[in-house]
Amino acid sequence: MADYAMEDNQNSAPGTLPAAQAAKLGDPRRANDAQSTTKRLQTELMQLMTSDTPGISAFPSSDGNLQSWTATIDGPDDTPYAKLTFKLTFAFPSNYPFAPPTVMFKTPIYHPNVDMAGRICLDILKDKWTAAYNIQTVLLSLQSLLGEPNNASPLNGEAATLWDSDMDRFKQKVADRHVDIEDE
Amino acid sequence: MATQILTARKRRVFNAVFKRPQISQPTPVATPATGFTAQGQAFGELPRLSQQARDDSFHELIIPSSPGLFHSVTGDESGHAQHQARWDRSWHTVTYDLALANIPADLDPMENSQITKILNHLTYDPKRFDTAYQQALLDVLDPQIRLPNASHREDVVLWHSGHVQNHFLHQVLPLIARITNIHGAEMYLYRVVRILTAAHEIYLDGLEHASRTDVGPRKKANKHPPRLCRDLHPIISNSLTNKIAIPLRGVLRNMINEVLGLPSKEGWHPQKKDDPSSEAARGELLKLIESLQDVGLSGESLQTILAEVMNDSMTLYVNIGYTGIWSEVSSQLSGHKERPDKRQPSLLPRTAHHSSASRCVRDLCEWIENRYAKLAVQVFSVLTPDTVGINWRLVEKWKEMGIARLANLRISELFDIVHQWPRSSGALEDLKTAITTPQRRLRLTEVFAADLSKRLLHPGTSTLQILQYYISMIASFHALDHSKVLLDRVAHPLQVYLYSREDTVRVIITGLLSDTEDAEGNPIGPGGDKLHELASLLDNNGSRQRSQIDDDLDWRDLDWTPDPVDAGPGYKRSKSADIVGTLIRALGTQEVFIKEFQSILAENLLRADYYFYREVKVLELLKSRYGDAPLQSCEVMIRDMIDSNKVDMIVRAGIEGKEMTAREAEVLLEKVPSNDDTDEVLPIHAKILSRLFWPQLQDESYRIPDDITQLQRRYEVGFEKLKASRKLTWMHALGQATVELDLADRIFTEEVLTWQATVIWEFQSDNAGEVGVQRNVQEIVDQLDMDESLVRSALKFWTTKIVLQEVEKDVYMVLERLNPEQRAWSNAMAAATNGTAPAEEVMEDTASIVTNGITKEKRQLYWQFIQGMLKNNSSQLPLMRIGMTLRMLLPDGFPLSNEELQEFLGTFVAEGALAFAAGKYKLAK
Repeated sequence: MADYAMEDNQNSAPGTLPAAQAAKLGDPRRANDAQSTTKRLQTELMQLMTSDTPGISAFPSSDGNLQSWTATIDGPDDTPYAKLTFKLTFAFPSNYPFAPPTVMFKTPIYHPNVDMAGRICLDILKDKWTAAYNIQTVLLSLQSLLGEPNNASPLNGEAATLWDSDMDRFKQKVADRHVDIEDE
Repeated sequence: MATQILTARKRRVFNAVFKRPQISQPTPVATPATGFTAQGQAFGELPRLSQQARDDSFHELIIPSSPGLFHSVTGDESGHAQHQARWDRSWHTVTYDLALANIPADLDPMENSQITKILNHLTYDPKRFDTAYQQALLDVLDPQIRLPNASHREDVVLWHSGHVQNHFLHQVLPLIARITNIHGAEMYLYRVVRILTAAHEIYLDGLEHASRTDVGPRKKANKHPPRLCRDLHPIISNSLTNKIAIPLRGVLRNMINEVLGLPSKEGWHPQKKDDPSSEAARGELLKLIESLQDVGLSGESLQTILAEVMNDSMTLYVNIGYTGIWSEVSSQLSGHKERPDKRQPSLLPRTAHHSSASRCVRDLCEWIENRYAKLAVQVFSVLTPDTVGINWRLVEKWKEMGIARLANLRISELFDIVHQWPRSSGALEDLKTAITTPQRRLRLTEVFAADLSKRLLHPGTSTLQILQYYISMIASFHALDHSKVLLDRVAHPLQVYLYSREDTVRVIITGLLSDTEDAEGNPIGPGGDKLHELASLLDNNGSRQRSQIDDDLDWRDLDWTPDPVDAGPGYKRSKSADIVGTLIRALGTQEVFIKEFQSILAENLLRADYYFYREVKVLELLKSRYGDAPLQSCEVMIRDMIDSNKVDMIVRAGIEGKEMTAREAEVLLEKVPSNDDTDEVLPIHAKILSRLFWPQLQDESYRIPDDITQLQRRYEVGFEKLKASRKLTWMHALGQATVELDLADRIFTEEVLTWQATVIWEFQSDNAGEVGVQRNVQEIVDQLDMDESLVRSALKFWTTKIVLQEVEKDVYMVLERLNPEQRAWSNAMAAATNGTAPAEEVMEDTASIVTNGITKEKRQLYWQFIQGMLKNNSSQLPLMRIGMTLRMLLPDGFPLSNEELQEFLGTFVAEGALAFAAGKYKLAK
């Protein structure tokens, strides 16, 4: 009987922890945020390295800071961006993956959803972000965005208009805008 | 003789036309206008003594009787005239006699024969100084008394000094200028000094002459030479000091070195006592200094030169005398060991009294006291005769200086001293005596750290060498300074450097686990390819050290000393050298160390059936340092080994149909420690490892011969009967097999690795009659499903054993019969097998296979990383950056060193995937 009583004691009020205990559990989690972010990014890196996805690649920046990455997308065939290579920067917030990374085109690109500074309008990088997304999925989404721009909410109005009206000029503009950037 | 007269005449004619203005006139400037003697009057008279003169204390010294030359003066006017005339005459006499002859310009001071002629010109004819001269001199020197009425008087001393200066500047100095040191500095100096001395003598001689006669007022005359010296000496020293400084320095150095028993060119025989040659040199030196002093060259510059030479000689003595003399042992040879102890303290300066003096320090102090100080005292007494001896504290100072020099020398040698440890304990003792101040300690660590980074911490030295050096460093610095402060200061860069070496931990652990004795039981000395030192250290004092308690509050410790003044914060006292502990503590974190230990332990445990006392010992050591918990898996590994013997026994008994309990097995194990395979039913043993606790073992999968597979099956069944819930997984590549090859002319038996056995199995002839089975590499690879590199390695192994022969490229054949040459080699090989060489060779082979095996899987991963960085970060990267990034980002770390990485990248370059240009790698387009 005594044993049962003890057991009851220990298991009493499941789900509600004493205040002190909750604090104890909460603290390390907050402190570990940066660490868990790093861990997650490391896992993603390994995943990217072991699964060879054609056309996309990403790697942490050379200073060894895991929170800033550089990625490369090859323009998909059958799009105006075919045979072009685009570099992007990823900046991961300290609460990644609970907040989306900031992704920018480093290579100048002429695209309806990308502005002149390289900012991208893509829903999964804004309000549709979930922790289930990762670098690889983001890159794949961006790759498909190149072929299918969302002309309903353009950042570059001219590009959106041209995409619909004059594909030849659009291609010309893409070629004009594109510059192969070398190194950092 | 005739030519001389001719020359003299010519000169007279020349002088008559071109009067040389610099020679002062021997007659007074003023000619008396009045007071010539009247007709019939005697010429000159004894002057009437005035009242003043009579009161003069010297009146008794006035010439008592008239020598007949003098007559009384009759009146004041005539007295005046007479006095004046006599004055003039006396002046004339004196100045004429004192006038110095010119030195003929054609005399060459470089010729020894002519030197004497020159010197003849520099002496007065003694006949000149007759009584007339003396009287005249007295008149001129003392006109107030002797010729009070002469109105035109001049100071003859002043004239003389002017004349002398003139002579010196125009006659002697040009002469000296003609002397060159073509015959060496000594000869040069000798001539200069000789001429100078002669000149000096003649300068002083003229006026001094009066003092030598007993007629003149000695005291008054004596007053003049100092005045002359005062005028003359500055001129001499100003005009000559700079010229002779260099030869003088050389000569003084040679003499002083000789006197002090310093090494010369002919070699050095240290002599503690003065020998005749040094005595002779001492006499010469003192004479030289004396003569220099006489001619007025003993000014500040001579003293400076002397001081510098003495200073240098001390450095020289220390440097030459003690360089490389590090051992304690040789002190017995020099015969100073039997010196009574009570004498020692008096030899040492007070500051060094507290420590026991080392041999070199004692020698040095003795030398300073007996020879150096002695010479200094003598030189001092020549230079400044007034001071009596020298301050004793100076000698003390010199000793301190000497010790400081010795310390400097030892500090500069310290790197090699440490290298020579323990044969250099004497030198460490020297240093211990000498480094008494924080400044010196600081200097020591600075110099040593610089040496260390220059001479040791570079890629050219192997980690093993660095570690060996570190061990002697710990030991020798401990001998130097028990407080470890110095060691801590210098060891830091070494430790940081060792961190950067990947193999540090491995070398240490292999060292700890290595044998201290070779096969014949002889101790293995330092050197070789393993850190045997560590193992012997562990044997000798591993247990003792743990019993020592480093407790600050040990009240019974009578040898307690306060912390050193230069100890840093967080300083912890520790008395023992504890080399093993320091190494383990300093190098590598706990995880790294344990991980490495685990993998080496695994390797060792699997390699053979032997008793792993040493492994257990190291495990205990690590446990005492890190606690039991982190080392649990190592414990399990050793336990596995012990258990698997037991299990093996029971399983085999079970297969043979016998029942055996664990207890029986243990008893049996103790009785028969080694298993004998030959006549057993089941010729297979297993080591059963608990997979979870062992490090990742590199296994190669290949198809093993069917016979073996069957044996394994049977064993598995037996095992599963014993331990129902367990399952055996075989690791094929990690075993040993005893191979017996029945060849046509010989039987070959050897314990080899399983994959080697498997390969040779392939050569087994299917039908008995077939001789010289041939296989090619690709066949074997396909047959066995084995990695090609492994197959090649095994083939190579069998070729060295002269079982196989490569008949053509990649085709091997069994050597059924040996020709005599091969047989001889085979015998030699068999003899050598007792040694360790072949075993190690095989180990190397396996090692290379394992690294290849690892990289085969990981190669793709690394390549992905390299591609990733080259694609995204920067299209071209140098080797260092690639290595750095890989080390940073790979979760399990990157095992290759930069050199290995270079090789690794080289394979990709060879494949055409990478391009290498201008020191950077880039992806090939």
